[in-house]
Amino acid sequence: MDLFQNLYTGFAAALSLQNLLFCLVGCLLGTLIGVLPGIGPVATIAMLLPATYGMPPLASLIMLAGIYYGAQYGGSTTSILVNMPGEVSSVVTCIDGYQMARQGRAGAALAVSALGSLFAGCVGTLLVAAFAPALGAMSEKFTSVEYFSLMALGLTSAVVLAQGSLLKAFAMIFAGLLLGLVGTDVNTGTARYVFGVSELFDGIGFLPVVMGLFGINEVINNLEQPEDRQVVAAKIDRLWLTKEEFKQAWPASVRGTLLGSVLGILPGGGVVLASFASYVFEKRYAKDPSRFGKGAIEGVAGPESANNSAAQTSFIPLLTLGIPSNVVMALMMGALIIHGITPGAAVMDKRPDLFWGLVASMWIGNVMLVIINLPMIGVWVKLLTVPYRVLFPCILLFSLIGIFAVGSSTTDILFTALFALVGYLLLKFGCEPGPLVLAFILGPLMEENLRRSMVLSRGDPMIFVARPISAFLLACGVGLMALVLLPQFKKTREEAFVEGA
Amino acid sequence: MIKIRSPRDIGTAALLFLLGAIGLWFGQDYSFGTTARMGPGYMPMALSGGLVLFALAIGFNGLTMDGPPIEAMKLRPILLVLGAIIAFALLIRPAGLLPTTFLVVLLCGFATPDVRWKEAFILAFALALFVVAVFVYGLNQTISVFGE
Repeated sequence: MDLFQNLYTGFAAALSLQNLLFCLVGCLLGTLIGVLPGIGPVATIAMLLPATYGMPPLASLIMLAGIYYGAQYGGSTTSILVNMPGEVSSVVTCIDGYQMARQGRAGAALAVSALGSLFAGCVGTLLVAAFAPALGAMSEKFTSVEYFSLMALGLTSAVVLAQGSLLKAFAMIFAGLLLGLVGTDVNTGTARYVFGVSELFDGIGFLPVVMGLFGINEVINNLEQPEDRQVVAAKIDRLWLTKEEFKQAWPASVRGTLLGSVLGILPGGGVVLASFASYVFEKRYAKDPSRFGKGAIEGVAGPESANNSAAQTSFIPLLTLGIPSNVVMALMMGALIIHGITPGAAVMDKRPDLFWGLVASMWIGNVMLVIINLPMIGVWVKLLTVPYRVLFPCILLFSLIGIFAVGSSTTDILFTALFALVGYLLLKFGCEPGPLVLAFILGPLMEENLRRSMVLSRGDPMIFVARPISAFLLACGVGLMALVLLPQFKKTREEAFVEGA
Repeated sequence: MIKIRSPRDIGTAALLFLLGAIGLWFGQDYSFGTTARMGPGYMPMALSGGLVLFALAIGFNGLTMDGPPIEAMKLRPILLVLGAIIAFALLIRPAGLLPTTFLVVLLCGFATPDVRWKEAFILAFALALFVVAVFVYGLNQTISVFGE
């Protein structure tokens, strides 16, 4: 069968000494930043992008992917032991995980989150291997019309899934698209909104926008909050589950995995949504919902499985359609482009080792992560004692050097400061920057595809509904919007976000 | 008398209006084209126009519906962190990586009230040596150590 042949190619590539090493480095770094609150995968991957210049493309992809899903493992450790999310995707794990730790069941909570993540990671990887080629084959029929509709769907779901007001999220999309258009127009060579700054001819740099809005902004925001960290369980005994706990946990883990896999593929979705949705689901459908919040093991097993399977499946849109579904995937796209590879279905045909090597490495990485996280838990707990006043100057400095090393431009650094300020204000005004960044990346692509579609149809916008695939994608977008505006779902959406806040 | 009822919405509206207005003002210079043959000005004008409309709608909400107040802004973190970034931009070429790192780390260290003088100095010094070793010698980045 093709799949096995392909997986064989993948493992052959991923099992080389060099790639194993980079996989390990990625997983270790991912766990590290997952455990440390205040630094996330977005900032870390952005910081390491310049370092991947000199690496072979597969090795750099493997490492960056390892950081992303490794962070999902590490994040739960902090949630359980400190009642503070190491990652945003582990926010809900705090609720029941910390309660378990206080009852002296920290070992069980840690074990269930690691094993649940492993199971979810394996399923997620299999799904990528099974579905990506099919989706890739379909995308060969795509013209600019379908691409435009697909991106419109992606941005719509980013709006729906963003926290807070829908109106504001839509406005963020428009702002992002407009910022994305700065620079030389490819069709006519007109320089748009350049204001005589020579660096702007190529557009506003991607790293300054992402690092400003996320990395630096996160630092400033953390500095505003008083530091308060207490590790509850000084000693963790018995890193395993009782039969009873296992029986309670495994169905939740399976449900979380399925939910996470679906939400991961959704454009604009990803790990945060997956863990929230899983928690809400478990609580709503539990026989006795009152146990939640008091150390229910399902409340750890479900979300932790969901965020890891979503981390795996969120690679599908990027690898098959060339469209990033979230900010981390946008950074991965950046890493591929640095190496002169345009992400999309063509990668699977032309560089099967790259695609299948990455898939295989994810499976290897998940196994490594269980070993990194369970027996070595003590090391990571020690790290939590590093105070933030030592940590944040390091984060800030590495980010700045990273940005400077990529573009060798001090203008980029000044833009980072500008976007940090913008991000700070947006946060204070209750606007989420996620949709803005996604739109910023898709802006030029969307304009290009819209223009081509309009040339094709001689200016008739009906072309988007006349073509079946495009009409289907747009209908999905409209359906999503309608769903959010329904009072019933609106309540659930708000509840899901409140639950985590 | 107009009363601000949701300061967060008014703030958002002001930011969006500013961006949209800049977009519209300078967007006029680029040829608009037709829907079938879009010029470089088509999308920017459409998006900027949309932003202004969004700003008006959100601003209207801010005047008519009650919303939560804007959280207190602490000046110390934001000013010192932004100051440190700008210092990096201004110093990295003339002064080089080693002195820049030292100063930037020291400066941003004071962004938190828990700063400890001795620790901040040691950290700044250690990090300066570390980044020179890693980025200049380890990763072979073309950043000069003591300025150009």
